[in-house]
Amino acid sequence: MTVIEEPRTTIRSGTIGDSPVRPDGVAKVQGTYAFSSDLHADGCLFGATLRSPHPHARIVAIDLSAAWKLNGVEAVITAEDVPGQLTYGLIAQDQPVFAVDVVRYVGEPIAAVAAIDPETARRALDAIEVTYEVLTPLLDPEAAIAGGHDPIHPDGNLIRHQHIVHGDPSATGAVVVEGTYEIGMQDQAFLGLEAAIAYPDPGADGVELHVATQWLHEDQKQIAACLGFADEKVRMVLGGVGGAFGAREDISLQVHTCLLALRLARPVRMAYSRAESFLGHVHRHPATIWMRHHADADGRLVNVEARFVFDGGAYASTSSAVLVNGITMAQGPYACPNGMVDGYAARTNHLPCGAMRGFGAVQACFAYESQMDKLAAACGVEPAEIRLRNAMKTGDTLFTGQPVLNVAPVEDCIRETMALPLPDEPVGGTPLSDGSQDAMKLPGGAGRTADAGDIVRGIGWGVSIKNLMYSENFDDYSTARCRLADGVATLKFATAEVGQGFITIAAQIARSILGVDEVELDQIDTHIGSAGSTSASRQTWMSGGAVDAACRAARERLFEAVGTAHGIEPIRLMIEGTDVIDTAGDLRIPVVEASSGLTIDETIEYHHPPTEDLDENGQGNCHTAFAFVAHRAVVDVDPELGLVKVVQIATAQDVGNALNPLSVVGQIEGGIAQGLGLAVMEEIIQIDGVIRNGNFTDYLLPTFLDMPPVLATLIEQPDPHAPLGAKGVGEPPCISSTPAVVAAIRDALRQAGIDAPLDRVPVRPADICL
Amino acid sequence: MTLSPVTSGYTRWDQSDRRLVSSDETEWFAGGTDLIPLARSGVLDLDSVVDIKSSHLERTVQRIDDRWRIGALATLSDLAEHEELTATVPAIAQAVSQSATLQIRHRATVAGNLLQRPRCSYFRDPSISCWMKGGSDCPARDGRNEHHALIDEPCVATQPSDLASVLVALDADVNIDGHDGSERTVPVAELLQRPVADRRSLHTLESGDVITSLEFTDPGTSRSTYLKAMNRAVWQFALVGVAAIVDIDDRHTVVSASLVASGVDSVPRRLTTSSETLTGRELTASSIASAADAAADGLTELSENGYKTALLRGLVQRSLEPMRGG
Repeated sequence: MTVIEEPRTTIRSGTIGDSPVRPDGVAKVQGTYAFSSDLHADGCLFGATLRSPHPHARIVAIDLSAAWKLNGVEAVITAEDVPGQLTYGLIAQDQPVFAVDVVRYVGEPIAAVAAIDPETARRALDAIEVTYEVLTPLLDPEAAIAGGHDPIHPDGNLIRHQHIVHGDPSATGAVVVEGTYEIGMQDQAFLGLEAAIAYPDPGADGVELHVATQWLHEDQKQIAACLGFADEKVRMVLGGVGGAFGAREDISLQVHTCLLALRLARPVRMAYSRAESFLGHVHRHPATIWMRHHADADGRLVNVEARFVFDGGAYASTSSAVLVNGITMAQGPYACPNGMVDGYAARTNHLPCGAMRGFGAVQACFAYESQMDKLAAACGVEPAEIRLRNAMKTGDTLFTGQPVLNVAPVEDCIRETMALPLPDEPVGGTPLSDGSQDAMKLPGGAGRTADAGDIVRGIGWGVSIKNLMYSENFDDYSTARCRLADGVATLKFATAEVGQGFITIAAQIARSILGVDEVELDQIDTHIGSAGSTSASRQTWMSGGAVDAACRAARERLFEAVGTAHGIEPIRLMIEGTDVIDTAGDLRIPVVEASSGLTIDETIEYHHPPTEDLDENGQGNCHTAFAFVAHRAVVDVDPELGLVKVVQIATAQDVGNALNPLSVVGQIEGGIAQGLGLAVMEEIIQIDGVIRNGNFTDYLLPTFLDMPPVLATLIEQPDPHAPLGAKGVGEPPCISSTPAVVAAIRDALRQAGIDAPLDRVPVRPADICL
Repeated sequence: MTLSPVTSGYTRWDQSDRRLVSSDETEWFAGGTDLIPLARSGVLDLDSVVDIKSSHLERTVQRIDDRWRIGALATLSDLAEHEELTATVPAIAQAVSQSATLQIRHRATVAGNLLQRPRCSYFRDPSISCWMKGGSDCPARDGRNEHHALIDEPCVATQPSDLASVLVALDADVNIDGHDGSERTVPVAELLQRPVADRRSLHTLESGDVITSLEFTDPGTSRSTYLKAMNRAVWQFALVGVAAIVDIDDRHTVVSASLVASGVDSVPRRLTTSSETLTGRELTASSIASAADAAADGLTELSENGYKTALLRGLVQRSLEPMRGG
């Protein structure tokens, strides 16, 4: 059961504040929605990718001859067939389309084939002979930082080092707590695998690519550069996206698909399997974080020292931005006058890491929240109380020197979470009608390993801060067009709908601003300016802001037309419900009627205020805005067997203005599932640079049965800086839910007389029962 | 190779054409829930498969006098849903219900469940030539072995079947049509053996042999249970599992006890000392503790799997505790 606010009965159906049915919802539930993996074209060929089996090796020779000889093989391509830029990347263009001379991670693309069917394509891959000279891989990020290892990439083994000094970094407190924390590599685990279909233009001087992605225009830019085309020669159309969570922000199969299609002048389709998907997209950075917190005797923070090491894997992706997010969040949602943070993003021969929901803030939060619990224990106060004493407020300053100008209701988040009821069910759950216990309510679940007498219940807290939108002087904007004619608004934008619900909210905005009921959504493609990425919890703010502004502009044109027709100053007009009304007279015209015969067309590019780069001391207003959340986890633990059952998560989240409360709750529940996964089961295991569990049998995701009830309170304090008062809500739920669950396990173990540090996530049975 | 029904090597089984399966490159195919993923991932390079789903082999679950007979093609769901069997030997339904997902249980056969390949991630990596696949070393011994067996053997993969432990605890037999036309019956405990250098497999079946059915004696008034430790609520192979079949007389004395563990050995591991410790003694906290303490006798912890010892002891204790006092 989830607690949400009472239905807002005064809200017009389908407008802001309502929770209308998603336009894609019914089709997805019924199984008729076309995901990108469902795309097909008559006569299309099937592409496949040859990947490196070695984490680090020199390519001595590639023999394609046997592959070419197979019946049904139409194309075999390597780096030699890339007509444009040989590398790509979101921040640094350091990742090869196909490996040139050297491979740097297991799974790196070396060649691609197109064939008449997937099986023939796969056989062609088998027929390609690559001769390798295996090199010693660099797998230790500390070794990469130390500099003793030969560079594994021309750009060197250190992707970024950033230092932050704030206040008096030598300040000490009466209470000092210290710890080193590790976060494992998490997979985004979207269900809709990577897939695309490319249609070459006649003459092969352009291409149209339908693909599941998070950022059409960035893909377009990178693809065009590699193809040697002008950007406009690559037309991008969003394929149906089955989740993203950051994993679709980088290029995967886009360039390969286009290259094959252009080479053959035929449509080519590529689709990854789950095993290939694990190799084909970036993951959450594994990290090691050391922290030392100084506080006064009452637990008020005096100084935070920290050192972050992110393992970026073989290519840069967004590692430098993930690093900055992590280190600039080192103090957490807490006021602290002094700090010194050192952060490194290292290059290794592991899988490349990049964006994943939470983007550096997740790693930081596990460390600083574990520290806050240590501080609470050292000071003899409750975990919630130590957080209240230090809670950040609007106007407080980050270690970067940046003031937090947004609404910062950290204290409200904590207090509202505290106010949510604890589970009323006893440990082990209410007995079934025959007096037995429901195994699914106990740690171990269907394995029937526990009864209530074996279980200890713990409670833990996590509170977090997350920056919203892009940072560090990035020109972050979104574009939207609104056409209004005959009472119908038609919206156009390139905002990737990845399941987060933007297309629902966009229509709500249009209905609210324009007083229309009917809103049509144009195809999501690159026939309009960029919307930026569906990431960084930014689309409600940025693309919502663009749609809002475009609709407001269209409304002005409507008012001008109505004013002219009725001899009224447009400034006197407003929308009330679905009517245009004269605020100083009696005129009331339905929008449908007022817009009859008109064609209004407004396109707006919405930018947020500029941000700054960090200087060498990590000072600068590098972030745009911030959101906050608190989580309280209740966990039942079987200390003897090391098994856990998360019983309840209570949360109060700073959402600004909930444009669609049901979607907000959906984000909260989904984010908590990913946070729970990182806490107790999800980790990509790599040994010697090779994934050992690249499938959903061995990479454990939480199931529906592992999800606890979520009690959610939405802290609605509209942010004056946000276009609609609405903050992004996608990332915060997964950030502090992880440390809350781990803290609850520690709490339970303490009650059982076990002092387990649990300084690494995911927590495994072996960490508990030994 | 990618296995699909259109593969040229796909054949439906005609009993008269037994020679089809007399090569190492040919596999029986029934549920296919393990075979197809292995073929798709490139671990098994199959020349051909012989489909026995629609063959004469039995799918029935029946009791004949005091013997239960389970056809080789019975699915895990058939067992889980068989009311009389579930009432008589709850451990069977418990073990199969805790295995895999419902979709897999609807498809996977009992015989196939016993013949699963190891879940070891090194074994399932087509680029690694581990000992089980004919190589010289077992990379798990000094590698990631959190999920591996507590044994000091050339291969430290576990036997992945939950059901197998219950069947061994029941002293069940398998009936086999041999590749040479002979018929034979062997205990499940003999079918499932630790691999050896010249038989790198978790079972002793030879190419061309086919399991036709399983049989076991109804355990009568004996109590049975199967507990399985997982760190997810459902759908996970056992970290450790314990099957217990215990016959207790009116005076609460253990007449016989058969405890078998999953997840700690490359076979369903009989916990012989624990079982013997209980026999002839009243089931008390003390005797249960003795059995639990003895559970890990003879097991060898590797670098990452020592926690399984605690799980094993805990599960032995918890499997027996509810049987006390009646």
